[in-house]
Amino acid sequence: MVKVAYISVVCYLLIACSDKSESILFPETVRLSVSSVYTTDIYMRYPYRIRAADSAIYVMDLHAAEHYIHKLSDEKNMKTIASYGKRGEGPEELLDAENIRLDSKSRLWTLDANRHKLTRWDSCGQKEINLSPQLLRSLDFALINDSTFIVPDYTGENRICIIDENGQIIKKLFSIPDKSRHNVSPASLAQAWRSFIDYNRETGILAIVTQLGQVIELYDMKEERRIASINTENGAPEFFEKQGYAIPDGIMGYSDVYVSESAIYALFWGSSFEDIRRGKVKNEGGNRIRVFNTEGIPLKEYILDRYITGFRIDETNGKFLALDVNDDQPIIEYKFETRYEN
Amino acid sequence: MKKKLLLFTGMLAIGTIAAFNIHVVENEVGDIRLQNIEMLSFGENEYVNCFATGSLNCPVNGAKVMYTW
Repeated sequence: MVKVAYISVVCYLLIACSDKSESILFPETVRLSVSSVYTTDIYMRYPYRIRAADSAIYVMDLHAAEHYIHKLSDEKNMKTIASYGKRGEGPEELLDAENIRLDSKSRLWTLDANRHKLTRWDSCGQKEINLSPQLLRSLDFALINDSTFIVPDYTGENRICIIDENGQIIKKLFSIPDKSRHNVSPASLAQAWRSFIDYNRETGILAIVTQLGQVIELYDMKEERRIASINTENGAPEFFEKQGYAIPDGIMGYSDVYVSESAIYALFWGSSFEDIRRGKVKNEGGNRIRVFNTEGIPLKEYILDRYITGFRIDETNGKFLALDVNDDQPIIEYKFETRYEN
Repeated sequence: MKKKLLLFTGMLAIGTIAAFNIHVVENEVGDIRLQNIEMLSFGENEYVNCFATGSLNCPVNGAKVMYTW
């Protein structure tokens, strides 16, 4: 009888722990609480990306009312220094902003997927690069240097494209690691594998994280080889095809990624689309930051007390800025331990 | 010791059954609500639809939405 009781308890625990979101095991889990809340003098509908350079903070608003990007002073009470990317259909205006980047000269870049162009701002004004028509709706970008870019490939032919300063494709590299879905079109597969990217210019490591799954791919761009594909079997995006489009049917996975010289940080949501459709998900964003080493080995998982959409990691000072879209004052800061046991 | 273990297992079983039943009731209510929304907005449900404000790319028009169906 006692044996039966033991077996029942073990079975119960096995079932309780079989959640897919727990399919990556981390040797350490750390809970973090907000250490600072910054105030701003500007209202943003859906702050999604945050960067920092030269004592200034740049925040991108995904659903901007007037301007997509705001440059703010780096102080407790942030003041707007300038706004970029006026929303509109006129010359030098944007219909959309997918991400923002700062190059080696701290010049601001953004990608407008709807107008199919990259835009850069500097003291002389605004420069636009029209992307090659061979690129299908690019949804993220990273800078290899100040005139060469990485964009994910949505034709489904390859994983990424390398783009020159004229917006032309220099080369296409790698392939989507999903080998099980041969019955869907390459474009649908690429939609389902829609990903966010980050590239470290010093190490040459590129990280690609899936928005609709839990897969993280690491590539050595200097040697043009895949280092690792994490959780490909259990975490591939789940979807079905409708009218030639990929309709997500699994989970919201990762929404931001940062590659430092020694670690990969990926922001994970984990909400199922079934729960989202039923209104059971009350917070927009994710509260888990997963940390891997540059070989793809899990190091640590941070569980935050807020749900965030994007972050900016500062390993040197052991803190990161985050964007809580659910709060009127969305810019918050966490302090964290940057030493990891490999 | 045996009695305590049996009592713990029994409570665990009752708790699991109760939680499962609550989950089923929630799902049934959700299903009915969802069906109504689908009937109102999807028609024959043959087209791709995009809902609410979010960060997901709507494949039809490129808008950022909460979910597509």
